[in-house]
Amino acid sequence: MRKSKKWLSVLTAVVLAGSALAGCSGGGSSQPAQSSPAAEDAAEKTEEAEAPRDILETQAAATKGQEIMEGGSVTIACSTDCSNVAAWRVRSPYERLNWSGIYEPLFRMNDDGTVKGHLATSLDADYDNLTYTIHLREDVNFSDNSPLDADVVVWNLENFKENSQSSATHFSKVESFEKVDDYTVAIHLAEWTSQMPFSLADVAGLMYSKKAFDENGYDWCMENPVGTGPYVLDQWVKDEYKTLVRNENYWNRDAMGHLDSYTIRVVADQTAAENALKAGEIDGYYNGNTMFENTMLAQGYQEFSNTARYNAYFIVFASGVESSPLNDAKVRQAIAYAIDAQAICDSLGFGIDTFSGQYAALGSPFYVDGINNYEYNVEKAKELLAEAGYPDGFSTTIYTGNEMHVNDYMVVLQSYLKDIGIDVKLEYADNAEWSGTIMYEIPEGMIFMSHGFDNNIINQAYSNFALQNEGNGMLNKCKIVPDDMKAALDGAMSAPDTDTMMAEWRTAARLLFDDYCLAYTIAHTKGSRVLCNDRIVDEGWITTPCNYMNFSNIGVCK
Amino acid sequence: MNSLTRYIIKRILISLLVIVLAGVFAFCVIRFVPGDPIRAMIGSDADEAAVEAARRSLNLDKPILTQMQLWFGNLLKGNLGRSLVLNDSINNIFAARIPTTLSLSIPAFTIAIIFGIFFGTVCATHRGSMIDQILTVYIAGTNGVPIFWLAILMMNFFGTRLGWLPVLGYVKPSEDLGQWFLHAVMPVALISLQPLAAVARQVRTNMLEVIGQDYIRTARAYGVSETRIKYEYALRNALIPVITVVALQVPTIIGGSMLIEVCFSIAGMGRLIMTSVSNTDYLVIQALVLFISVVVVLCNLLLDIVYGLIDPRIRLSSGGK
Repeated sequence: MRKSKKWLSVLTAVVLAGSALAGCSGGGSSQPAQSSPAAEDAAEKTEEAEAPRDILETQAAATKGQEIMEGGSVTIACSTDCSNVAAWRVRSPYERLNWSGIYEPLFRMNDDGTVKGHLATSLDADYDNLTYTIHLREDVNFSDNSPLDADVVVWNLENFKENSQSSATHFSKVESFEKVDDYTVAIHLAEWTSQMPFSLADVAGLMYSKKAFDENGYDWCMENPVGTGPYVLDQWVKDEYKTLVRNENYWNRDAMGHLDSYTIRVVADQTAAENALKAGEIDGYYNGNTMFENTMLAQGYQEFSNTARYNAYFIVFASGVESSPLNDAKVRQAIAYAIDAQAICDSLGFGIDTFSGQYAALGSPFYVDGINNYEYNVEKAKELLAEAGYPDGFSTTIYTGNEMHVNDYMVVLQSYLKDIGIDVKLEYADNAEWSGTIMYEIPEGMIFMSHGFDNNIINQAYSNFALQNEGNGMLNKCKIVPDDMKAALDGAMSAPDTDTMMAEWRTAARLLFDDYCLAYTIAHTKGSRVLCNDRIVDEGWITTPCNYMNFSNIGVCK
Repeated sequence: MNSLTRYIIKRILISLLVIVLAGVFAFCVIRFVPGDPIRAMIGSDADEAAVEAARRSLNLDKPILTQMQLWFGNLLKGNLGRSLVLNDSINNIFAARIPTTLSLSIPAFTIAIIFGIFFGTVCATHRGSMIDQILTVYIAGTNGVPIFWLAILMMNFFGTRLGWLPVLGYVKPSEDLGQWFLHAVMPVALISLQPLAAVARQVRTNMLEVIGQDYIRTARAYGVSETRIKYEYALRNALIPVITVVALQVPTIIGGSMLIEVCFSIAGMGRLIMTSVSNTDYLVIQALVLFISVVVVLCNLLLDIVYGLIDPRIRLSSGGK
């Protein structure tokens, strides 16, 4: 009895110790956690930066070259369900994943940043008359057999302008839409914008059945998707899963989907997703974090990622105070030189993230060659600081929204800037306050944020750096807006053609990221990616330059 | 009017007052959270016009007292409002999820009570034995082990490695009872762990106390069988304080179901709490705070009524005659 008591005491102690260790790990808190070992590792790296990597490099697909089986089904999981259903409400990456088998855009993107027709055949730009003209295909119908014609397109575009939460982003310069003939629509602008093709290749160009709307009303449409795509919604248990089945009325018989059906399942916890992938209950997980991606790639799973969409972690310099050191371009450049972005990508990004120094990732059609990406150079940083009159450094603040995944970056930045004598205070704003803070309340300092970019990068840069006290422009109290940079951004936005737009953008990007160094991008991570098992074959499903998946191009390998 | 009726009416009136105060608290606490709730709900990239339209649709552009009046008015009509994040009526959201959570919580609660009483009784009646030691280790260990960690372990072992049980999801019992059982085994077992330990510990303590009483010794002296002494005399008296502990497990089960539903991707009320907090869906949070308050208040009311039924001293001391 004494011996058994002794063993049981030991067992109790072991269980309690294990519980204490387990209880002390993981979890999140509202307060920023201490930096992780990966963050400390990044701060210590001093090796030479490698050449920038192309964000389009993806894990070689185990199923590349494999033949697709006709039929079958797959289950793709994501962390959250989507609440927006109607085409004019689609915004987030999760909504694009969920509805891209049902809704199709008028245009799709090419690798070089130009658009090609999908539901439309072509797009004419008339700069002098401030008009874009859309020429539609004449053989497109919705899943309810109603045709896609000019009346339906005009209705969709007006609906988007009226009811979409991102209407101002895409249609702020639009005056009216006009039916020219049964298959031609004109978009009349109050002011020219070069971004209309990108908008029509994105959510603004998604089409919903007007017949369904007329028969069932607005509220019904907010719950029931009716599009032109190769799949239709079969079953939806909210916040659990939705199943989509083949649309037998699909207009494009040459591009019928390979799959009979697919299921989008909601799996909030990534550890559960990992177990489910291994157990075969799901075939892929959408947009897991970098750690999850790294873990699964190491175990032999394959990744497919969108070539248009990526998330960037970047710093923006703000200075509304005349005496601020950040007013001096040399100081901003010194800060950029002091940060070893490649080491951050290699450690915090597990070698998956890439670094380019500018908004566009290497490989994007909007990436600009020849711009200084400020490769890590502490001596150069100190030299520039001394030239600017701050040989002993100064104090400043970095602001960010209070999200767990940015804390490590913030701590690393603080550490790097300490090396050149800059004392950085880290300020975390609550998520609910962040929008207000970033727009109106920061007087001086730096902001660190992550943001998704796709082919609207010029629009985004214009909104961030040219707009002031207008709508969604940020840092309205302290933005630095050099006249020549603003002129180049204005020129890119109002360019009459793509060549002029890209030329103006190259000028604007050089001024923004190089000469004035108003922002510095530390890391790019793939913004739309799926970790899959080896059943799935991607022939352009997610690996597409359009920020919108194509479910005709996914299948199961034979 | 007899004492029991008076006692029950008094408890009901107090409970109603608590529910009203909980509603006021739920309304006010959300409005003290810093920042713009609309931007937090519909996204920082939403246009200003969309933000203002959303604000008007939720009456958040009106004075606070008007908002409270409208909210309570709607509550009396049974309308909890609308979630901008989930784009659905909160009534519909709750109606879809409450049955799911109940189908896991009720079995977990039942298991916790039955096995908690059983284990506690066994421990008390076999004090010092090997089985008492083992169960004591289990009870102590359960309290310290994080439930989500156990969930991951079980998911990995029974789901991924052995393939015996599904890792994710939920099937309604009305759709397929067998599949419901397979999907519910791990979640129900995990949710019941900590309440079971709490009940077992309380039963053990009370049983040991009661077994040492004079009337138990007298019953033995009169030749009453040991089994009858344990289960008819001792256990019945030991269970009165246990009722309190049982009622206190309701918040534990709510908390447990939150974590378990997220781990197993089950769309119940627990996961709704997590997603609405992470999405800063203020109106759903407001409704959830009120809902949870009502559940806890009703459980306490039930507890008070059961106490009054079991023990006349309690209802008499509460002002009954």
